[in-house]
Order: sequence, then C-alpha cells, then structure tokens
Amino acid sequence: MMALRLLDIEWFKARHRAVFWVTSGFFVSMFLLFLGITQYRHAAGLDERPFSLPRDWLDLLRGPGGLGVLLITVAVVLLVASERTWRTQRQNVIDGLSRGQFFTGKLLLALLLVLIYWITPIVTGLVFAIFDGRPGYTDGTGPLLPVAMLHAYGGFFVHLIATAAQAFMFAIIASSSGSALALTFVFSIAQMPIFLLLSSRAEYWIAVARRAPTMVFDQLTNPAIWDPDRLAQLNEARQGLPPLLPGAEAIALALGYTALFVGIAWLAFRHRDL
Amino acid sequence: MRIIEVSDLTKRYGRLTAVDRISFTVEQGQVFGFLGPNGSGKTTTIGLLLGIVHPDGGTIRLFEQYGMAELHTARRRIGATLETPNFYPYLSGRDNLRVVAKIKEASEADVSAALDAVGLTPRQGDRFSKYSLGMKQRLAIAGAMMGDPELVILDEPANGLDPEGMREIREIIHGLAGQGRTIFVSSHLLYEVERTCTHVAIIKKGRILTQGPLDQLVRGTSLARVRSADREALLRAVGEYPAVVRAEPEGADVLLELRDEDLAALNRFLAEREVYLSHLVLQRQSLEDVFIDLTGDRPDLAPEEAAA
Repeated sequence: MMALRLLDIEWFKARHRAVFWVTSGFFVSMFLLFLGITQYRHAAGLDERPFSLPRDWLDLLRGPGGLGVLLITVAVVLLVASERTWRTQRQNVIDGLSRGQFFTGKLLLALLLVLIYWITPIVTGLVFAIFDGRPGYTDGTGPLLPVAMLHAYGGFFVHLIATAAQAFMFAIIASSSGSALALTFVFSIAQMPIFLLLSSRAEYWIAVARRAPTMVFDQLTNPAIWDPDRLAQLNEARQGLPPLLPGAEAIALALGYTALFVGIAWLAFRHRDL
Repeated sequence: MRIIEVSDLTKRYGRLTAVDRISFTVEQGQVFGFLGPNGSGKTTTIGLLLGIVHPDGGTIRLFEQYGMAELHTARRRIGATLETPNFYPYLSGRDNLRVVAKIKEASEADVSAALDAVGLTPRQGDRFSKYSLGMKQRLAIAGAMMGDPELVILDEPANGLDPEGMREIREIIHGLAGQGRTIFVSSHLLYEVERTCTHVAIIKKGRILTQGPLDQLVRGTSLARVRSADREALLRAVGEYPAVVRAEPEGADVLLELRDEDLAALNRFLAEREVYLSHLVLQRQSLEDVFIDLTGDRPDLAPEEAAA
C-alpha cells in the first residue's frame, strides 16, 4: 500500500516533467522510425524480407534498443538529481516522508522507467507484426518468443535495471544533474580503456576487466552467452579483448552491481544532511 | 504540553560549530520567535529539529513523546518551511500543493482551503517559477498548513518581502496562532518578531544569548531619561535610588536603567533630596535594544524605517 502511494507521488511529479516525455517519446519514435524504414525498404523493393517475428526480435534490441540504455540514464539522472537541486527532496522529507520512503519512491520511479523502456520494443514490435496486416510479418518460423529471445529480452531487462541503478547512484551522490550525468558517463566510458591498459601489463587484470560493470552490462542482450559452444567461438574471435562471461554469471554479476549501486546510494543519502 | 524540548544540541561543520550546546523549550500555543543575525545557526537548528540535519550532540524531544530516533514520525504533526520556498518550478501552485497533499494524505479540499487561506486561489494554475517571492512564501506557508499540523515551523517567512508582503505574512501567522497552533518562527527581522511573537530566543554564533516571554525580555530593564539643572547632584542622588541598575550621562541627560517603571517614586525620591527634574520620560526598551545589547549587532530595520 505504501509502495503504491510512493509510486503515485513519483508518477505525479514525473508525468508533469518534460524530460520524462521527451526521453520516452524519443525512444518510442526511434522504434517507429526503425520499423517504418524497414517497411518502406521492403515496399520499395530495396529489402527482400519484411519485418517479421520471431526472426527480427534481436534487430529491435540491436538497433533502437541500444538507445534505451542512454536514454534511461538521462531520464533517471534528471528525474532524481533535480530533487536535490531544487531542494524538494528536503521538503518532501519535511512534509512527512521518511528518508527511506523518499528513497524508495525514487527507486520505484526508476523501476517504472525500466518497465517502460523494456516493454517499448516488445509492444512496438508486436504492433507492427500483428496489426500491419501484410502476410509474412509474423513469419511462422517458430514460437513467437523463442528461448534465445527470452534470454536476450531478459538480459535487456537486467541491463536496463543495472544501468538505471548506476545512474540512480550518481544522481543521489552528485550535487547537480549536470555533474551526475558527467560522472555516470565518465564511469561508463572510462572503464574499458583503463582495464585494457592494465590487462596488457598483467594477466590478472583480464579477469577483472571481463567483470567490469560496463563490460558485463553490454553483453547481457547477446543470446550467445547462453550457449557454451557459441560463447567459446565468440571468445576465440575476441582477440585482445576480455572474453565474455557465461549468461548466468553475467546476470548474477549485473544484479550484484545493481545491489551495490543502490546500497552506496542509500548509504550516501541516509548519512548526509538534506 | 512541551511541544519542543531541546537540550545541549550541537552541530559542527568541520571546525565551525554552527549550533553550540543550545537548550530551549517551546510550550503549546506559543508563538516562539527564534532571532539572530544571518549565519547565527537558526536554519541549522530548525534542520536539526526536523531531523534532516544530523546532530553531533544533545537531545531533541517533540510533543513530549518523540525522541531523536522518532523525529520522522513527529514530522507528521509538523508543518514547516526551511530557508527559501522549495517547490517544483515546472508545476503550478496547485499541483505543488497536490504533491504535499499526497505526502500528508490530505484531500483535494485541503488543497483548496490552503490556497484560499493564503490568497493564492486566483493564481493557483500559474507555474511556481512564475510566482513572485511573496507568492512563493505564501505557497510555502500553505504547504506547511496542510494536514492540520499542531506545530508550524517557519524559517525566515518574511525574508525579501516588501512591507505589504510582510504584513500579509504577519496576518497569516496571527491567523495560525489564533487557531491555537504552536508556531516557531525564525527571523532576523526584529520588528516582525516583536509584532508577532509571544516568546523569543536570541541566538548568535550558534549560542542562545537569552530567551523568555517577549514582554519580560523587553520590560525587564526599563530605561528612564532624566534631566536636572544640577547634573552632578542628580547623578549622586540616583546612585542612592534602590531601583537604579545603571546611570549613564548622555548629553545633557542622564539615562537610567531601572528595575521598575515607577517614575513617580523616582521623582519623589529625587525631590526629597532637593534634586528637581526638568525632564523625565520612560523609555521602554524595544527588542532591538535588547538585541543590540546582547549581540552588539545592528539588526535589520523595520520596513517603515528601511523605506525612509
């Protein structure tokens, strides 16, 4: 009951903010554009096959789906960090929320964003496939959601959760939205070059690099990590790059990082003066 | 009932002691003025009372039942503003109060009533970012009033307002006090506090210098200005008068600090010693005099003086 009330408060704030609609709208429009172009290319004879499911599920993730990680970072940071800038987090607590309730409300908002971003490729894909009305758009080559796609979309869900948690942590720690965004992107981008540099000096760092947050998150949507043979082939081909992790380990690590990010954010929020 | 009970409360920021072992109590129904220059520790003290600033020492007890660990529960019985009004700039005044109402589990009717009480109903649909400072302050008070709080804490509610805005805020505070609520109001505007509060504490550099009922503070040391043709005889005679605390020559006059306001008795005492006064007037000490005596600071002027 309390969770619903907290979500209601956060949803009220978010749905009146331009950043929520701009980021979500941009994400949805990217799928519509992608599907529209696919359809146009087929109609114009530039592409032999039309968009069809289950074959093209993965294309949705590899194409516009990749933007989701960037957009959810922006949305989470701006929706969370601005509460500190405007000192409304302090006022919310003065008005009667406990620190824990305020924090939980924001976490629920981040989870809501994850659900929206996760469901967008599924809904837009299904809508195009089912309601387009052209034969061949659901290709009948197998079940609508094959196991590999469940892995990929499950991985996408965890990727979004972990990315949102990372953005959430920096949004809580940083003193403004700008610095939170900068910290998040520097943290994400700087990991690989640093670990690769260290890997060239000592074997030990390869084991660390393949478990670095960005490295772990980026492989979650790859269905190959769930197939030992394909994973072995893939890793052989990654010359000089840290090998990918098996699916279960990658998921467990990503969830571990998620818990760590949320834990750090909570400790920072709990112990600081508002 | 003791609504606020603070004992040896301390807060440090590095080497700076913002609040230094302060103690005070606020009883039910009081309008308690927390006076001090800018940077004296008023806002930090309120933050400590509300549990949003972590103390380094001391205790707080609210409503005689909530200790330090239960301040978040006590906040449900408190309406408060801290420093500048803190609202969502992209939301309208009404929508901002809706957020407050959701937190306090108040109704839409409560939102309307709060807007009415502070006279913001005609501008309720405007964005908060478009509000003037006075409107923002009134909206903050409306937010604090939501949920029928027993204790209302207002931090510098008249800050930055013009005389008309100050008058409006004063009327709102009087209205809240008239409803029997306990009010804790911090300010560096003595004139406003003197016209609004029943009790006062004066804080400087994190320490409370004095506290008590306002009328006792300003009446405790009455001043009389006296003049006589023979000033030396006057000074000798007043030195023998039991109610004189201090006598200081000031131009042609002598300024007397008295324990009482019985000027007839003073005049009679002096006449018996053949000292005849050509000038005798009681100078009631204002809160400003008390403040200057204690802090050595020149406080902000009353709006009328400032305008002049």
